[in-house]
Amino acid sequence: MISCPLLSRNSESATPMDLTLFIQLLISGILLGGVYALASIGLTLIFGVMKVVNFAHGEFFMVAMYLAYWAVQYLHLDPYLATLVAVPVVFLIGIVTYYLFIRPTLSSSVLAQIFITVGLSTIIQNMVLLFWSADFRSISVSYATESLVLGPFAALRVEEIMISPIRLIAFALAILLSVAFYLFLKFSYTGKIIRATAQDRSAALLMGINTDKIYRLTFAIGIVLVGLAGGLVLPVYSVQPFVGFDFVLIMFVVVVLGGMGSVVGAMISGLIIGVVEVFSSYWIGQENKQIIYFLVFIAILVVRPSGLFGLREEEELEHIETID
Amino acid sequence: MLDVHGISKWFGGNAVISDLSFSIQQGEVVGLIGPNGAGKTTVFNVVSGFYRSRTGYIRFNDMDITRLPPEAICSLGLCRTFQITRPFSNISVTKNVMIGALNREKSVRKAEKRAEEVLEFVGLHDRRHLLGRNLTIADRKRLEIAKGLATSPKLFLLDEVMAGLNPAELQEMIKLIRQVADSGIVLFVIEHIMAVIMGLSHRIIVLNHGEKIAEGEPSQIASDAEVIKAYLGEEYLLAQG
Amino acid sequence: MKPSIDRQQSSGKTLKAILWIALLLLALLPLFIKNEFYLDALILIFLWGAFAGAWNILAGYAGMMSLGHNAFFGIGAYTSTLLLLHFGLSPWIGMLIGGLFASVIGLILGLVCFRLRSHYFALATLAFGEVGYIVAVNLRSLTGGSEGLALPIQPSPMLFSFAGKLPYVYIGLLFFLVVIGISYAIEHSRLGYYLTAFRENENAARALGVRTGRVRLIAMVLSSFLSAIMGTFYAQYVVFIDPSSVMRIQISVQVALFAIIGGIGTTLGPAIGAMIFVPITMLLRAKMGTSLPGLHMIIYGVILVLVLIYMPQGIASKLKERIPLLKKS
Repeated sequence: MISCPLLSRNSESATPMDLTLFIQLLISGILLGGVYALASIGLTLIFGVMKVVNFAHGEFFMVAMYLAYWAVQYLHLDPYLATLVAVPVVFLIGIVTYYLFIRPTLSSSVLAQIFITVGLSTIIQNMVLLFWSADFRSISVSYATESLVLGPFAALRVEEIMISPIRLIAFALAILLSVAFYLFLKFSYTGKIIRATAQDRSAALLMGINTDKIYRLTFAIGIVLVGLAGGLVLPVYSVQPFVGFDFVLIMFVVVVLGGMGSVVGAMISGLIIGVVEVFSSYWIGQENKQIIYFLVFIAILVVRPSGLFGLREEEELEHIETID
Repeated sequence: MLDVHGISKWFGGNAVISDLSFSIQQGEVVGLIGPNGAGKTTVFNVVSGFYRSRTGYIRFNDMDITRLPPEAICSLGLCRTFQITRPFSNISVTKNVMIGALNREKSVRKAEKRAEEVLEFVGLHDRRHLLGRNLTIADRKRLEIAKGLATSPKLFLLDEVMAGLNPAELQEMIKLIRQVADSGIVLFVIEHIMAVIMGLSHRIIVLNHGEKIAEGEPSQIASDAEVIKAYLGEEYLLAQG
Repeated sequence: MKPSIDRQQSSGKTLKAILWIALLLLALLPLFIKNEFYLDALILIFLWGAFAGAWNILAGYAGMMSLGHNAFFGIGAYTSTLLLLHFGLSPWIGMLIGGLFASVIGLILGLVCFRLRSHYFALATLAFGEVGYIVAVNLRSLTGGSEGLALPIQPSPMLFSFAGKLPYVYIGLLFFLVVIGISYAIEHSRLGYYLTAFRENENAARALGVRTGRVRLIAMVLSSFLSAIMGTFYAQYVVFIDPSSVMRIQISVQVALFAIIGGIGTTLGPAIGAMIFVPITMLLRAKMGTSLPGLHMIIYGVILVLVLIYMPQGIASKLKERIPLLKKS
């Protein structure tokens, strides 16, 4: 990961954080969070519609990064264009994955569903390791190397704020795509069908909705969304076979915080987690920051498993049928 | 034996049961009836410990069980069946019942023997090797009862064990329930089939909108105005004159 | 009817007798193997088989899918090793302390995740396992970080260190049999029945008096204790531990794989899984060296997926007609 000098561990100074630094971290966090949001929407969507927890979600992020990378290297495309080019391929991969791995276990036990995607994750990670080696690869964007500078705002006692342009572009595109998807889900006909299927599968079937097609589409869309996120961060992060694994844990934290199945939840929590990560990184260092959001994760799962926006799953006890 | 006083249960803003009190004595068969949505199963859930009532108390054989979890209440001798049967799908009928028997018998061998006895009693012995998920509805209902009986309950809560049975199965079930009652177990029964519950019960409690609207012997209940109003509506009552 | 039952019984008895004799012969076999490679394979089969068996107690019997068992394994390995390196404490004792420590952590985890089911529990344990790895890497002063810890090599039976591989084979076999024995005992005990009830339908179980809370924690504690024990065994055999070898999430996935493919929830399932996969891995490594990294994991993954789709009860289910030991409880 490309480290930003402003985020290095600051253990010597005991001075309280000044406004400049606070804003700097906040902005960095939000920029980061936008990408987390986009990456996580697909995961929460798949769970919301199919009740499948896709443990392999991060691998598609990683594969998309590789595809974009090759497109940049060999087709000499602009990385963001390369991402676009990778989309149809990723979509296809999503469809194939659905047929081979997801569909056969939709009615299987929880064990089978969990471990099929775990197995899938293992397969993809190691195939990439085998064919493309463990080398870290990265690209740079020629037109976006200089930091943008905001301010200073003398009136607010705020000094210069640095913004990394590649992160800014990633954020902007991520938010754009997230909002576009949200609108699609909310207002388009297909989007409504997807939501209907998520809410009540039996009712959807009765309405003549081909749930299998919807599941297939939803899964592929979910994969495309995380793939897009991967492509967007290619200029920022190096790609290697296990980059997906690093990100998937963050995605799970985001999804659980936002509420499994809630797209809005994922979007908002993405931003929250981005900010949490940047501040944690500042306070306890890059390597240790992961502990913070894992603790957050476990805390959410224990205190409010349904997350911020998830359907409030009634307590286990209240799953007793009350027909009377 | 069972003394319920002032219990209530809310879901969201709705009071599914409010300020309900009743008691059940030794040797009785008590019926619980009421229109759909009256809160009957909720009463069972509260009494058996699956829901907690924030008001009032429940005493069973002079023990306060208001705050106890279901497993503790079962061990004290109060057992319940579920309206939608919950067999352990992937194990045999015998093993299903053994789970109940292990509540009393610590040894697996003795539990197995007890399970076989109970299966004989309910008439499932010849199907004891079937897996839980492969049973017919009637057999599932029997299994529900068998599992509960294996825990040697003193008070047995039966939640609509007749639902979904054809007339022949119904007759057999009625016979079985009578046999259970005759064996000394006190029964508290929720049932929709009027003829059955009237015939079985010594006393009937009628619930509507979570409140007790009538209580008494079957003959009294059948002609009680409130009860008729609850089931058939005000117009019917007025039409009767 | 009667004669055929008797015949069945007597052929069952003969089968059992043959099985015991075969096992006895097998147990004596290592004494005659000179090829270190085969001894190494046996040791690893016993190690991973026992660890998979420990995982199976929680995931197979109690139905709680843990993806973070690497943490318990690592706790065992690091605890006994650190006690040895800093205090000269015999790993035999360190092993028990490690087991105890892991049990306590497991208990806390079980209490914290009390209400979590299936997916959520898997996620929580995944996070837990990952924290284990991060702690191992970052607590450099304690754990030696990524560089790991090297154990003393001088043989000393009191310090759980032996010159040849043979002692490790028999100690491994002992642990292996202990775990299998515990699994068998659980399966045929009240605890086993209660775990099955909990796994099948928690509310129905509670309605029959099953103390699901307690029963679940017992499974958790047993599972974590045994996992830690195997961690110590690993440390003593390989004489080097680092986060990558004893704390990675992949370790947890691997044992899950062995147990699932062999037959989850059965006594011998995990053992079968280990018996199939350890040799495959070793052969692959021997033939390919490091030229094809990750190949064995790809094969694992593919087999896991195939098994889950076509044979979710595992290999044991295919054999269960013949040998009752393999029947799922």
